[in-house]
Amino acid sequence: MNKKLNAKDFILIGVLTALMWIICMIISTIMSVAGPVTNVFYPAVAAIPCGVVMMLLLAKVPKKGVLAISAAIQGILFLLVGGFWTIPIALIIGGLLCDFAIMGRGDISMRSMAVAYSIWNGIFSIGAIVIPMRFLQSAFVGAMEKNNIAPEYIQGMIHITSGFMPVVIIIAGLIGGLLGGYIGQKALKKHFVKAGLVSAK
Amino acid sequence: MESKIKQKIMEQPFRGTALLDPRCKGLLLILLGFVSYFVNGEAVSLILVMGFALFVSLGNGAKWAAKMVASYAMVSILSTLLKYVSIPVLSVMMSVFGVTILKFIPIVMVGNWILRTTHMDDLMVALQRMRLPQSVTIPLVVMFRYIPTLGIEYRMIRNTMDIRGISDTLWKRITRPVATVEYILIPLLMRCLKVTDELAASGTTRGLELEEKRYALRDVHFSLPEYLMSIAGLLFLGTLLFLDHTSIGEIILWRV
Amino acid sequence: MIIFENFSFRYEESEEFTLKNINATVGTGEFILLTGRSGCGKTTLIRSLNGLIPHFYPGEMKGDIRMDGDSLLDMKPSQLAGKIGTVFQDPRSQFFMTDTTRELAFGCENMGYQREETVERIAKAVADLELADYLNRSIFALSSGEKQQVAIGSVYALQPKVYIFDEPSANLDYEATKRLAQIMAKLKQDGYTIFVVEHRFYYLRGLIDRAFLIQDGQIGQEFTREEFCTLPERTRISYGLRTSWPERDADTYQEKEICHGNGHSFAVKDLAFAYKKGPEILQNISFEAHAGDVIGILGHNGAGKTTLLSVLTGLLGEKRGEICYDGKKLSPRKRRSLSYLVMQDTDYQLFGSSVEEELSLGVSGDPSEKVTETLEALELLAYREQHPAALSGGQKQRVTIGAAIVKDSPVIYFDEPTSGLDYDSMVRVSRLIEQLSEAGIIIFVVSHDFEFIVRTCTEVLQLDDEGVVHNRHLTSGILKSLSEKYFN
Repeated sequence: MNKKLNAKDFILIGVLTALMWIICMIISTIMSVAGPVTNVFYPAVAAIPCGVVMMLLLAKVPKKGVLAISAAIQGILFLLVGGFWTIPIALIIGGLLCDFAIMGRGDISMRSMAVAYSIWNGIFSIGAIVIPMRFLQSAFVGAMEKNNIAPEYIQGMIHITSGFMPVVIIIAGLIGGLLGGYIGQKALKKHFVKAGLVSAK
Repeated sequence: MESKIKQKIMEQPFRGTALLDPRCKGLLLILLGFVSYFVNGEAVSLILVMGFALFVSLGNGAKWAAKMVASYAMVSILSTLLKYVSIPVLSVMMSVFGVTILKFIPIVMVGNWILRTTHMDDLMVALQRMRLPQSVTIPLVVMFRYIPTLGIEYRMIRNTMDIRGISDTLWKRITRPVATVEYILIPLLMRCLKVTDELAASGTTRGLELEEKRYALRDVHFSLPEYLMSIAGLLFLGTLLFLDHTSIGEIILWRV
Repeated sequence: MIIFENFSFRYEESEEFTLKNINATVGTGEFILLTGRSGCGKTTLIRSLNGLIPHFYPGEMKGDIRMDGDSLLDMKPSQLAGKIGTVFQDPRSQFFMTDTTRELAFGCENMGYQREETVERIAKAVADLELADYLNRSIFALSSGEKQQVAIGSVYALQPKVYIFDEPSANLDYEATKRLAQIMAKLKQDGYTIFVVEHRFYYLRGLIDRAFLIQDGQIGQEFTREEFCTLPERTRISYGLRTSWPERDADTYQEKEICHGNGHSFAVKDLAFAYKKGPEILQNISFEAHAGDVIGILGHNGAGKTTLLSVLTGLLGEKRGEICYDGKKLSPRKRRSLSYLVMQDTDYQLFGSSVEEELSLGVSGDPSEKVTETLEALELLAYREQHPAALSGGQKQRVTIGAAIVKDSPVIYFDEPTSGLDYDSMVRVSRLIEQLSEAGIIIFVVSHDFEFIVRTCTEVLQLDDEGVVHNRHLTSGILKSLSEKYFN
């Protein structure tokens, strides 16, 4: 089979990545507004619907580089809308790592797809929440204080990211990714494989 | 006749800053996003918004910029007012919501302006000149074209759901959220697959996969105006970052 | 000259060969119509001409296709870009750019032409195809017909020698189809080789040199223009072909007897609609309908037919006037629950993971008995476990009609139900609508398809440019005046 990516694959990556990114933006905005507790878990929750889209993309184009390209493009988009600089970096590094190290060997199977997606999402959680809140905390809190964010919210953010919470957040990200992958593969089988649009391995 | 048509083809609907190289626009947007995170004083934030509003106004975006500046002022006043009422939980939510919107306004203002004032072939040329591979340029260009369409497709699906009585009431949506997401997402994805097939067929039969050097209908160059604009942008943002740490950063503008 | 030498093709995922031993020689400047039942292999045939097979659709090939001596099968679609141009079916999804001028330039820019040359080529396309009015417009503001013309222009700018049209009239109204025929006549006159895949081919009857009837992956029959346009009715129908002379149906039309069965009525009084700040798109719309009526909504693209459907079905609120069912005024919400809309695009309407589940969605109570009954009536029982997306276009449409039956909607709306359907499927939809009307359902049909309207409708509402409606009982006289408007 032809393993090189062609224009059709690039177009599919573009269309589906657009969809994933919009879903992610909507969920992250709602959850950061809803409160500090929900804020830190947005990567985990967004991963569930996005997982359906990503599983379709990976199953439809089972070639190397798809996850990395999609991740890089999401990174570029986050950069363009002023996402904190750790987000694009985490997305791109995570994308490369998961694509070539985790799914890299041999044919891409359903299992490796879900695992790679889950780990990628864990890395996304690190870049989106853990690094800014833990390692760049003073800058981050200073920014929030000056921005007139209610002190309760800032306290909540500090509280929810202190102690062993970063580990919980990363694990949540991993579980979110795994769940997204699992639900995505179920949806794949229920709809796309059954309709003969995608073949599952 | 021919020359008249050629004239019409070369007609340029955009003026001023809208004609800058897409790379320059993108660079300014990224810088803006980066800086807006660290600029927090009320006066300085306002200068930031006004500065970029001026930039947008100089390139077919005066109305849009005015609208965004007005919304910025309105949200600022509203969130100041809200500080005087305190309802547990809700006040905190509103304050975070207000800040999120204020941070987003300059980015939305410039981002949407770029979307509207950038010819897609200029963008493709600019991306190609950056030596980005097709694996990045094609998806980016497709997104540019497809994001507006996504909204239309979403509406169509919701219309059908309303008529068929599928997750059409708030009650059904709350009690069966997973099913609701499935009913929206699956037809949307089916549609994405079909659109991809058709776009790909129409693109490749017109030579999309060729990696020839492209020439847009208009000259796309990163030349003097772009360098000047980028430097001006850097200086502007640098000054704001500096001012933010002086007493100007402490000025409280929004008071009732 | 294009020569098919014993060409066969099997899609990777399929067991059987879709194309079997195609042998044909097409001379330069010939105008070839490819027609036949849905699924006969027409589309596969043109995909192997423009390089999408085997590049995008991998599979097993035998034989060869040669153009002027070179094998087409070795070339990628991008290598064929300047030689063979393809205009696809759906004008909405073949645009890469967001404005028309750039879309015209898209192919040339891909080829790496210098700016002067690109401009030269677009200018020629605009002048030759009379596209000057469409320059510098947003593609989102164009009608389907206008989009189609820009799509042709974009291919024309590449100056290919061979043109392929894949069901180009499927999304067009009569005006736009006439315009399409003019453009094709110009291309033929200039000596290009043209392949057209089409079900509704009446507009090509003065243009075709030969027609290939594709049957089960082979060229079953080959006709000259005279032979093809004078096929005896019975033979034509046995091949599953639409008519070449739809206007003749007006002469033989016999008025249908309408039984106003259960006496339900639907009335619209002085209806008007406008988007928020815009001008009124629809105004002074008044008509009445009774159970058993099949009402055709006619009017050219942009007259507001789709908007009217959206208002009637309750997707949009009216600005003025009222819509009543059995004398009671309906709110938009109530209208949504009473009506069912079968859209042209079935993609948006299928949600379930099986045909059976699809029919029971959104229905309260246990509909399983009714579902089985409906599936049987629609001849879909064999597919009850299958995924709706795996069905053919006609079958998908019947599934959505089935959902309307199970929902028990007293008013059903159809939007262009015959676009892209072959003769058999068209007749089937027509019969189904007849059965629904006999069961006392009020039916509205938006259609451009004259043959189908004659066969199906009992009344017509004609929307004019001002958005005013004229309601008439369908008679032979009206059909004659319509056919004159459509075909002359």
